Amino acid sequence: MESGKKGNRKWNVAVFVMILWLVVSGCEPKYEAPVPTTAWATFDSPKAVPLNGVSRTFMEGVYTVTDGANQFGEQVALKWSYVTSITDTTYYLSVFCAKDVAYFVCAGKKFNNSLIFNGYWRKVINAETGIARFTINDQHGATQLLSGSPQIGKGDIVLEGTWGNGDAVPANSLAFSYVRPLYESKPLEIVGQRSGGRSSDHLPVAENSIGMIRYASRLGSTGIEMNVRLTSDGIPVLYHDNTLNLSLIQKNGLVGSIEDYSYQQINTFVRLIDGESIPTLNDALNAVVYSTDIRFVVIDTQYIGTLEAVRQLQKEYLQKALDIGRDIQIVIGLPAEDKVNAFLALPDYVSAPALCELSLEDVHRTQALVWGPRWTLGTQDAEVAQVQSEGRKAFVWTLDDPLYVDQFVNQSNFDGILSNYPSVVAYYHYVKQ
Amino acid sequence: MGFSSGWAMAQTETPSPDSTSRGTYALVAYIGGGMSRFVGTAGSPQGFNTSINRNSPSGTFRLMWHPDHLLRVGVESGWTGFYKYKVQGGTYTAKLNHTATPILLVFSMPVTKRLSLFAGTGTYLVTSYLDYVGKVQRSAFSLGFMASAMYVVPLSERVSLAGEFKWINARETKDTNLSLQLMVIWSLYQW
Repeated sequence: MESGKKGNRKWNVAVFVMILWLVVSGCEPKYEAPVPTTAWATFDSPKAVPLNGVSRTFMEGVYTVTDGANQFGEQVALKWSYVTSITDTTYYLSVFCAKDVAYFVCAGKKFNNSLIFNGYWRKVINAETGIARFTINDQHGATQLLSGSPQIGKGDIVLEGTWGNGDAVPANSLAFSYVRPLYESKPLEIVGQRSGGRSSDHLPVAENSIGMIRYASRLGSTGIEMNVRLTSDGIPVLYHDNTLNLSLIQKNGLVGSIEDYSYQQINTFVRLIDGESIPTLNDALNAVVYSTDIRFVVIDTQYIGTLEAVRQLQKEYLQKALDIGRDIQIVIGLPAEDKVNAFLALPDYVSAPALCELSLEDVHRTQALVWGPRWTLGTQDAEVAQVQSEGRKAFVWTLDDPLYVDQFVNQSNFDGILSNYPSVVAYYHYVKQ
Repeated sequence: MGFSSGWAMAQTETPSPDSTSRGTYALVAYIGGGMSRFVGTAGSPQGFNTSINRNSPSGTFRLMWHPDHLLRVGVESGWTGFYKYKVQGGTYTAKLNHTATPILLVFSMPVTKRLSLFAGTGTYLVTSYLDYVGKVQRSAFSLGFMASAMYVVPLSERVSLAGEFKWINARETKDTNLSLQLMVIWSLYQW
């Protein structure tokens, strides 16, 4: 009997220790998708020189994936974007895929009689990433693309290359063959949320950062939605969440919200997960106007209070864009009744472009430039036609599921789509026929 | 029945499985304090001359139900410092203090006559106090855990002294510390 008791007790203790161990050890998986090291001697050699604009423009298009379709899908869309700095403009070739929200970002150069591309691929639905390298040789389109006036038809351009996993030298073959130009008949604003993409998707830059604003068009965005909050001393800054938390910022010991701290405190103590400072709205709009090809900005105010500071910056940067000949729309988002009331309290709201997410009546009341219903309400063809007949635009939010993106791109008449996965929207839009 | 026998009830007075009578139940308070050391990554601003202090005082209050079987259950609160740092700028000094108050559901089990293990889960009310161009104190809840081992020395029928080695983890704020505390254990009520 006594030995039975001891046996039970040992068993109980073992179970307790096991539970204790589970509690202590936790089970938190850690996902990271660092950009691979893309050093490539050929690409970095002095013989490799920048591509000209003609080559870039004429190689944009819809391509069939003739090798590597298992990994990246049957078809892809290739598009160039750029960012500028004070001294330089850098061009990036993006490859948008439907499968697994995959995309490529490459730089391109001319090397002898070929075009070479060096970069990386990434699947946003997981943490898979790796190096990608392509070549267009003189037999497969380089001669045409390097001529002054290329005539490109189906099969005239073939990108042959390799992809790998992580930092490993790429060894898996990949080939894209040109099919047709990108769809451009009816423009679509592809608006990346959180200034282009979410930190939770482990993108190379933090959401709502200057880095993300500069990265957004590589993800396919033609526009971005900035999430704006006010510091305790009234400075509009970009930050999405209600609280300072470790999914968006590096650890600093502070808890609470953006609104609890002054800008000087935030700027000294808080860094986004990639190490960047939290940008002011002023810095963010400055980056859009002077260093990107982004043409549409939604300022999504996530605080309760006056929109005066936001309106002043909107006015200032619309004028600055005009001054340098850029056609950029900057609209103030009105997602709820309190925002509508704050907007109507502005002395010049009539001339302030806005995106109203509420009813058509509210759109008329605020004289909003854009109506933005949620996607769950359907394609709403009659309402969309009505606002378009009034000279307004209709954007739908937030479309992330590729199935619904496909449906809305191909079966609705919206002028814009807000998404956390702009590369998917870009794919379905550009491959339209 | 005295406390010391109540403490060791699991070892000495657990009813046999076929018995219909129960043993003694007790409501037991644990109160103590000691020092803790922050063992996680203490976040502080990059690029500044920062001095971090990872050692802090900590205190625990725990109320446990000791039934007549091995598993015991109760609640725990108290206070612990995680870390504090001072940032030395050109013309200014900034100070930050990061602390927590646990609010936990705790289970425990005696492993030997003198040694017990504790495990708990719940939330920590994490507080930051910033003194830099103005003072700001804010709190937020962070889900988390605790685990500890306690060695008990009975002093009388109702009172014991104990030493506890404790690990706490506020998961959402990624704060972890280890503490060594001296505890007074008092059997408040028995039935």
